[in-house]
Amino acid sequence: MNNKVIKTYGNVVKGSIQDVANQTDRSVAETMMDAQYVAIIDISASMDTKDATGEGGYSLRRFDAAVQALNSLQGSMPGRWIIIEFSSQHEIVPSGAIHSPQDMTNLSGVLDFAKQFNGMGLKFYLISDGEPDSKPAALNVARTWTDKLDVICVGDLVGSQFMQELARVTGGIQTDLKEFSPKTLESTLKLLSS
Amino acid sequence: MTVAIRFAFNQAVIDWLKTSIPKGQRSWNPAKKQWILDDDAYAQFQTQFPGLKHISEVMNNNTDTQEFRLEYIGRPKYTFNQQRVMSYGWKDQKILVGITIEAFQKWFRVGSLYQQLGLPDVVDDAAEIRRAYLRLARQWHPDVCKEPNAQEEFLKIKKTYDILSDPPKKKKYDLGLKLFGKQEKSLIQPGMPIPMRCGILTGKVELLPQRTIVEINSWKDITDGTKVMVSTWKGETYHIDWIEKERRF
Repeated sequence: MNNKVIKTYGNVVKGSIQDVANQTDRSVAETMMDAQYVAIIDISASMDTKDATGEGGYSLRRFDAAVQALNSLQGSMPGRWIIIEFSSQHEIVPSGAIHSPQDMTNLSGVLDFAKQFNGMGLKFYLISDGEPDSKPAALNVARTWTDKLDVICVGDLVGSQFMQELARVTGGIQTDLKEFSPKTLESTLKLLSS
Repeated sequence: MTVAIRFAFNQAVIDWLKTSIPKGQRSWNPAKKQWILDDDAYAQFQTQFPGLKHISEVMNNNTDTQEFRLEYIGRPKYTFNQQRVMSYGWKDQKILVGITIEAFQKWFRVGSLYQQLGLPDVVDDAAEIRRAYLRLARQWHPDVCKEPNAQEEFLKIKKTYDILSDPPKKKKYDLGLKLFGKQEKSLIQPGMPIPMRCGILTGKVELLPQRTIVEINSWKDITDGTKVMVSTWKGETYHIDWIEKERRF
């Protein structure tokens, strides 16, 4: 599987690392030093499922609800969030512009990649709806983490039990959000990060 | 284009050259007894003295690479005729050579905090980072440097050092650099001071018409083995100081 890191400089989300870098004339690398949180977001094909709840009660894709929550958090805490998306591949997204859902769930790959941010005083959150391609591989990588990983399981919660185990091996906590809305996810992330 | 001319002694012509042709467009080569004029000045000369017998020689601007030991390098400014932006390199309180802003812009094109301290790419040796910081800090400290923006420059250098000398911050920055790469920009704009004010510069020299470094190939510290030269602007002239390589500021 190809786990190469791809940089995205398309649309820039307000408050993203790239946005702050553009506004302050600092490099992305310099701006990233002020980050406090890392959100690892699952963009596998199952995140396309329309069972989240939007404003006014209409249904929303899990992906859209998660993206709206992260955009709002970046807007309210500029330069504080590092966004990493993953499906079969993973990418760090300094612009905050997350790609559409596709492919499989290579969780071990993204955990291995995100591990390099351990030991820098950052807080980590995984937002995912399901089961990874390989649970043992993901757990093995998670066991090598030195920082806690808080896990938010969204959607139909089929992967809840595994997510709980994943959080546990890193010393983090797990939260289930069924039929979630952007606001509930945002407030959960705010609560966890406070 | 630069033209070297020789003519029989003629005070009127010399007076005219000195009063009518700006210094940036003419120079005197005492060794060869030649006046060196740029093409515009030479055209004026021909118009003014159409019948004057003289020997002219079009000079090849691309001369060789030369080395200069410069005790002070001024900030790049527009020349009085507003035609180019350049600095002057001094030695023994006298101007020795010009340096174009383009040469500085290329040399001080930085993409990382390391380069802002004058270091090569990522450096892990804390002592080396500290030495680079001390050199610049000494040069820009507001107590010794009277440049109008000394305070601002000093704080910028200190902020950079605060990051690179703090292991967790450095680790985070190094990772960012690895993931996102360098984003190059030049530190030099007209009127802005250049980070280093002295050194042994080797570069490509042209006659424009005065000797001017148009491309810098290397820049080394002036050192006596244990100490490094630091040069600051004292208000009216420059001042040389020597700091020990490991000295704490």
